This record gives sequence, C-alpha cells and structure tokens, in this order.
Amino acid sequence: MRPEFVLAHEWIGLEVEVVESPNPCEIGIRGVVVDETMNTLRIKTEKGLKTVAKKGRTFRVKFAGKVLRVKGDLIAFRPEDRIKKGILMLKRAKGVWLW
Amino acid sequence: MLRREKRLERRIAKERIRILFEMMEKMKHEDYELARRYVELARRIAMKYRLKLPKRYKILFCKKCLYPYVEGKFRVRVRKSRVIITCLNCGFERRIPIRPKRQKYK
Amino acid sequence: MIDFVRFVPDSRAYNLGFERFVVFSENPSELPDSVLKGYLIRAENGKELIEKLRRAKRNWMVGVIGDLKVIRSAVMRWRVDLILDFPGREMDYVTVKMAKEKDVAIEISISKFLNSEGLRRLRLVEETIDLIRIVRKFDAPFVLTSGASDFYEMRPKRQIMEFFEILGADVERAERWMERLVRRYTDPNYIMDGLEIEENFKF
Repeated sequence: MRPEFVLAHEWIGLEVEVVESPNPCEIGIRGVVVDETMNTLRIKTEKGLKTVAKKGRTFRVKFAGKVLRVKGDLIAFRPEDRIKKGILMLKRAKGVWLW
Repeated sequence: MLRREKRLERRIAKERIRILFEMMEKMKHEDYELARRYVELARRIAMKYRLKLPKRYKILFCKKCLYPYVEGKFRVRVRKSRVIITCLNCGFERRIPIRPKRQKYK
Repeated sequence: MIDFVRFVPDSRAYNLGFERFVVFSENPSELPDSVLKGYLIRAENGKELIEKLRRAKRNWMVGVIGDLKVIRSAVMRWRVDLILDFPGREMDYVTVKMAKEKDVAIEISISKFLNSEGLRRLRLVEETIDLIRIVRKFDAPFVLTSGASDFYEMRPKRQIMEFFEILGADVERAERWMERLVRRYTDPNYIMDGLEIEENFKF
C-alpha cells in the first residue's frame, strides 16, 4: 500500500494527532479514529471521545508504516465518496505517479 | 475530463470493507451502535463501487436492521431443510437453504 | 535560491549566489547529474507536443515553447510543468486562467529583455506588465528566472527580483512557487499540497 492512498483509504482504526487547528484546544488531540462523517472525525483519546472537524485542520497520521501529514481539506468528503474523489485528486495533482 | 481508475477504486474498496468488518468484530462487544455504523459504512462502500459482500461477511449481520449478530441477540434453528437465523432486535428471519448436493440421475 | 537556465552552468554561475540550477535542454539525458534536468519541448503543433511529451522521463521537469495554440494545448496536459519564456511568446487571459486551474507555472524571464533594444524592449515591458497583472488577478503559479542561454545573460537573484518588482510582480510569492516546483522533483517526502511524509517521527 502506498502512502499516497491515505486520501482514498479507510481512516477508521488509524492513529491520528491534530497538529494544526484554528482552535487551540484541539491541538494535540491524539488517539484512534472510531467514526467518520463528511465533515468530522471522531477520535477516541485517553480522555474520551472527541469530535474534530476536518476542514482547516492538519492531521498527523500513521499509515502504511509511515507518518504522514495530511491537510483536512483533502479528506473532507463522505467516507464512501473518498475512494473516487481521493484517487481523482491524486490523478489531478502534478508530480504524483499512480503507476 | 479525467478518467476514473475503476480497478484501483475497487481494490481499495475491497480493502476498506475488510478493515471495517475486522473493526466491527472487535467493536461489537464494546460498542454495539458503532459496530452497526461500521456495517453500514461497509455496505455503502460495497454498493457505491458495485462489489459483492463476501458470504462470510454477509452472515455476520442482520440484513434488515444491520445490527451485527451477537450472542443472545439472535437465534439459529435448523428447520425444513434450511438454517433459520432470527434477529432478536427486529425479528427479521433469514433463511439459508441447505440443499444436499444434487445427485446424478441415471 | 534556484534559477532556471538553458545551458550547463560552470563554477562562475554558482558564485552569483544560486544553490541549484534547473537546466532545460532538448535532450536532457546528456546533462550532468549535478543539475536538475529539464526537458525543453519545442513544438509546432499539438501533435508534435504529445509525441515529444511521451519521451519525457519521470525525473525530468517539462517546459514547453511554442506559439499560442501550442501553449494552450500544453496547459491542458498533465505532464507539463511550466511554460517557458522566449522572445515573442504570447500569453492571453484564457491561458493564464487555465494555467491556474491546471497548476502549470508560467515563466517570466529577464533574458529576453537583455536581448532586445529600443522600441521592442519598451513593448516587451508593456506586455510583461499586462501579463503580471493577469497572473496576479488569478493568483496563477509563476516563476521569475534569468532564463539565460549563456553565462553572460545571467544576473544575480536580487537583480532579477528587483527588476520584476518594478513591473509589479509579487516576488515572494514567485519564490514560493519556484520552491514548490523544484520540491516536486527533488524531495521524496513531498507528495502533493497538504500531503507530506514526515520522517524521523514516531508516535
């Protein structure tokens, strides 16, 4: 699995940390994603469930054995739409070799 | 116009369904509602990318209310040469016929 | 500090304060490995462009030279990274807009100013001001370079930047676009905007 495919892949079950956010309380939230909607991620932390919006945040995520830094705007789609839209986004971006 | 990579999409969709059902198996004793949510997501992915859910996943949840079968929440009976699984949440009966292998006639 | 040139720079060029050069040539396989290879495509029509694009290797940056028609079709191609500058290039409103949408950089170079004189240079200045104004309106990717074809056309970075600042270009933004363009080919940890690999980081 290549690291590019985070955009299309399942986020439920991944380890996530919020790196940047307009809301200073959200920075540093870290845990496992348990649920996902179009605009939010629900993260299970040590202090309980937290709901974080995707837009405008930057996430650090562990995927395919690598640590990635992903902008939330890139994954702000419905979870089932993201396969199609994520791959199209990768195809449209310059310098990404899908094959 | 960009062309969609349907094969790649389907490959990823299959993996996602696998992950979701694995998570569901883990979750169904901790958080029942969340387990249902995973089934719903997996089914939505399968429908969107026109994949068949494998049989081993299909028998894990109720077709009607999508709640996964957990001990005490379903009943299995063999009757009239079929397996009948009753979901005790919604009362939906699922019948799986067990037909003996067709014999060759002379 | 990066510069896009059309010849293989020697040590004198590095003294001008540049760290890295992107060299555009028609057959980049002959270039030395110390510079970033750029593939210059000179095309007469769309067919020739596609034919030549097919030959481009993965680690070559691709730039296109041609008339307006060629440039317009080049902007649409995924493989094209930037539209190179040369004397007599035409760019119109639509092309710049497309370049923004398709993320193709527009090169604005100083060498064509050096090669022209009098009225022609005056007209060049006018055209460039117009182009920069359109670029600014759409916030299209653009790079300010020397575009030199030999050592004597090269200028220090500060000179280039100040020259274009007079013409109304947003110099800092140009620098950022340029870094982004080069990063695409040099940094293995960069995937796309907003998606990067973080090395040496453990959860």
